[in-house]
Amino acid sequence: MYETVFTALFRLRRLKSLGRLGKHSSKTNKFKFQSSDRLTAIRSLLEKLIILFILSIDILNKKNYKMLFSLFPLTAINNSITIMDIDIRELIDDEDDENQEEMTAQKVLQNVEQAWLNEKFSPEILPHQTDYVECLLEQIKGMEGNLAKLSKTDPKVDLHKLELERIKFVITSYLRTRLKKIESFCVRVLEEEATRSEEDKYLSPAELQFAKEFALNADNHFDTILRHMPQLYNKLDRNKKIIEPNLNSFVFLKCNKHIDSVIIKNTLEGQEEEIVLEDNSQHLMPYSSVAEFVKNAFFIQIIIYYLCYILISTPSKYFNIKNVIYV
Amino acid sequence: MMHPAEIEFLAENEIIQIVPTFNHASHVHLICGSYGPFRAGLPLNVPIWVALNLRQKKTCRILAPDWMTVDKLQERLEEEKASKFFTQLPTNYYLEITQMLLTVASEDIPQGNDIKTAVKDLWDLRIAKLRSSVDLFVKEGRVQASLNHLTPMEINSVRPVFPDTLDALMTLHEHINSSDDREDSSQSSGATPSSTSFSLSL
Repeated sequence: MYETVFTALFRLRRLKSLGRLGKHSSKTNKFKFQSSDRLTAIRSLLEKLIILFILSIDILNKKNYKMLFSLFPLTAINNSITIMDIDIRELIDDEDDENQEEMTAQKVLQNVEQAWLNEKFSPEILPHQTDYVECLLEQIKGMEGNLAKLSKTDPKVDLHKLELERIKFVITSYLRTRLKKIESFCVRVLEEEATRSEEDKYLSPAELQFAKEFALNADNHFDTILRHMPQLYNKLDRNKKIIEPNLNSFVFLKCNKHIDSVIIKNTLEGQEEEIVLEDNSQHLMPYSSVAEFVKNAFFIQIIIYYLCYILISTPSKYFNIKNVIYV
Repeated sequence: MMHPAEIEFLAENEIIQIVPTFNHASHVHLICGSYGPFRAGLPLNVPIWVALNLRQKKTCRILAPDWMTVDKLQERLEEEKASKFFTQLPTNYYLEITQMLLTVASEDIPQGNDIKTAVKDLWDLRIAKLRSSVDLFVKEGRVQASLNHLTPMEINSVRPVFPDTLDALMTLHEHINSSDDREDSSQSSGATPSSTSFSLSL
């Protein structure tokens, strides 16, 4: 891939150095072309280049862009060649827009609200959504800063303030529900967390720290008390401390997406049955049947979100579009 | 599990029409979306919480939603009576919206009291249906039910008790089954319903 891009770039540069690209106009920073067939030739070359470029964007990690561009001194070409009306920047912006569309602040808010409700009603702790929460907190911070600048008589100040309060309520309620679950199932949660890999941790770093400290404090507390107990009772078995969530508890659920088959274990008759969950249908069934879907749905969202989050908060940090692409 | 006030909180995100009495040319860019422009006398869509806030400051008039008329509600009631299952309602939060609007903006809604009664009738009817379905569900020992068109508030009215009952039943059955297996694995319970899925509504 690198090689092909490089060859294309090289050929382009050679064209330029041979002065075949056209006459440079310092005013518009654009080249004017003399003959149309030459133009088509270059156009096809460029299109190829652009396609390769876009492909490489897809394939490479975004962080690597900078490296890619340092390998190929595009800036050198950038200053002198502006060709036709194809602008890679536009193409890239389009790409970004597609991602960003998924993640307007509104969408983030909806995701947090959904995460809040899911967390509230699922018996076990779900994968954390810290990315969304932090994004919202940033939004709130920004909004509060803007509000301070506005005059108090502006009718929209009140509405904004009210909305911020509403969002804060959702966030705090969400985090508190999680903390409550961590406190109840502390030992269990920590054990499960230890088996998970770095990428799919269910607890955020802060929550993990809280859980560890909580477990430690609880242990210390039991130790101090049990020391004063008769010998027979002063040992606490691990199995006695542990509280486990009842994964088979019944939950009400609403299906956002069609799911072909959900297996439900009927403990009464010792059988399994399979049902189809249709879009927007509502059901009552044991949590264990749908647990995977509840978690996975979020997992997919996290991935989309990760890409977009960078774009929302720091559009030019990883990749300075202005400097580089003016091919 | 969930406080009714929290369901009301969710209901406040629904969109409603208001007629502002003030002018504000630009859009208000809230995080949940942009609304506006506010022009005196011209109706526009906003979330209910915005509508209530403006109404409390007496800077707008709330327009009752389409379904919130005595005639429409009576129609719904008849439909609900005729159907064996739960019917689809125009909004998921009919009770909460009625309650909120009538508390804050009772002057804006014609025949407020009649509407209140009609909504209460509808609620009573649906809850009665729900209770009898729940009863049947527990007695027949099913493990799955589809509950289409039930609103969050209705579900919440049976929430803590109903799933907990089922959980307890399941635990008991598990214990019975495991002891049965130990005693006699060949002996199976005779009368088992052929289909285990159960429909509260279709």
